Amino acid sequence: MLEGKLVRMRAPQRADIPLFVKWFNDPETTRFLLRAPPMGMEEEEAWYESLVNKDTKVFCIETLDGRLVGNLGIIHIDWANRNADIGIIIGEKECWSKGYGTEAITLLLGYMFDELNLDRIWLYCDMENLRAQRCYEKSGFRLEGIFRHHRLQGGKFRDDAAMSILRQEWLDRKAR
Amino acid sequence: MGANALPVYTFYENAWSRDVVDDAANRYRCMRIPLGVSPFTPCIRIYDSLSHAKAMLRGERVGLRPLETQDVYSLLKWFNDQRVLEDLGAEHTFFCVSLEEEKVMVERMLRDVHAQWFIIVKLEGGEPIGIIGLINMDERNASAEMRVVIGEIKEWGKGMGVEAVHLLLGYGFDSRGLHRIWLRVADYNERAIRLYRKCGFVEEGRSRHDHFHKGRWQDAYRMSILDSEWRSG
Repeated sequence: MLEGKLVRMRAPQRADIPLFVKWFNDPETTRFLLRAPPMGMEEEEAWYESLVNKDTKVFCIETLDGRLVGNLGIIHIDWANRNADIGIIIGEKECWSKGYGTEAITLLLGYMFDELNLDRIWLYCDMENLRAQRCYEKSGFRLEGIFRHHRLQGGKFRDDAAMSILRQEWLDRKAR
Repeated sequence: MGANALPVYTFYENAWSRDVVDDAANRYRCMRIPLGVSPFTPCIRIYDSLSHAKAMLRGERVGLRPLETQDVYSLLKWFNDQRVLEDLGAEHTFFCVSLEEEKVMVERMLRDVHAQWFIIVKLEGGEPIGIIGLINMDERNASAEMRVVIGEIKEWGKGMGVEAVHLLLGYGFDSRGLHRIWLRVADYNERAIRLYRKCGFVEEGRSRHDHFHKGRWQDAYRMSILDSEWRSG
């Protein structure tokens, strides 16, 4: 468990699956997700079970009073090149814009830089998802490029922002 | 008649923890190794069903019993506790372990023929408070690595670890015929180092930049104890 001032992170449990299904079938929540097919209970359970043998690591974001509000994950760690990509969803809509995501990402960054000794954390984010971009910027990420027509979604090719934070930038932020 | 035709099952000495695994079919698979197939030196003994299930190494306040599949719930609790993980020396890559992941871990521990894991239990009431074991068992050279964790924070500082380590050393030297038991310990884990010294381990070296923790490379000690030291101490 990793705890901050607003949220803590814990391992996912089988009992969380119905909530995940709710989140991933809500068009408003999934509007900007890079991969957002409708997910049934069984698919979600299969996904949950597949996590054990994958290098994807999923954490649950919980408020300090124990309410599950979203997921945060390390999607892949490239150990040789010391970099990794992450993904996040705040599934509970009334918990948007409360700083939960920013704090969860900051906690995870601390873990990835200070314990896993990685050099670069990166992610893609829909160009139109300004709220997420602001959250990533607050956590220390920088826009490093735009992938034009990176994804087809809703009948339209969408642009993705590529963002990243380097180890030195993290250390500078911590020193401030 | 060749060795393969003998109606005797062959077991590894250290396979006996597996006979308390719940799943009977799984047990059968683990335990029955035909003679002559094994690349390791086998020890032949008659399989007396559950005679070991209650086997326990007993001290004054704690005992050691073989790790069982259902201990996964205790392990899950201990290895999700940041206070327990804090000084372990980054043995675990991740800090949030799910039940399913821990199950896979326990399966692997039980299947490992070069390891023998015990759960440390309080003799009074039988509550599990930690895990201890010998891993990387090298039968040719009679040496093994020791690992120990007291997972129940409320039992810290009561000398439970010392007692458990004593029991394990007795098991390793007297029952397994080991000559040397060694361990790795993070150099900032002063409580553990004190415990190992008390049990007779001596520092024999320092692994420089052994692991990454708290934003920098950390050193670890290697400590060991020989059977002669154990017997004279």
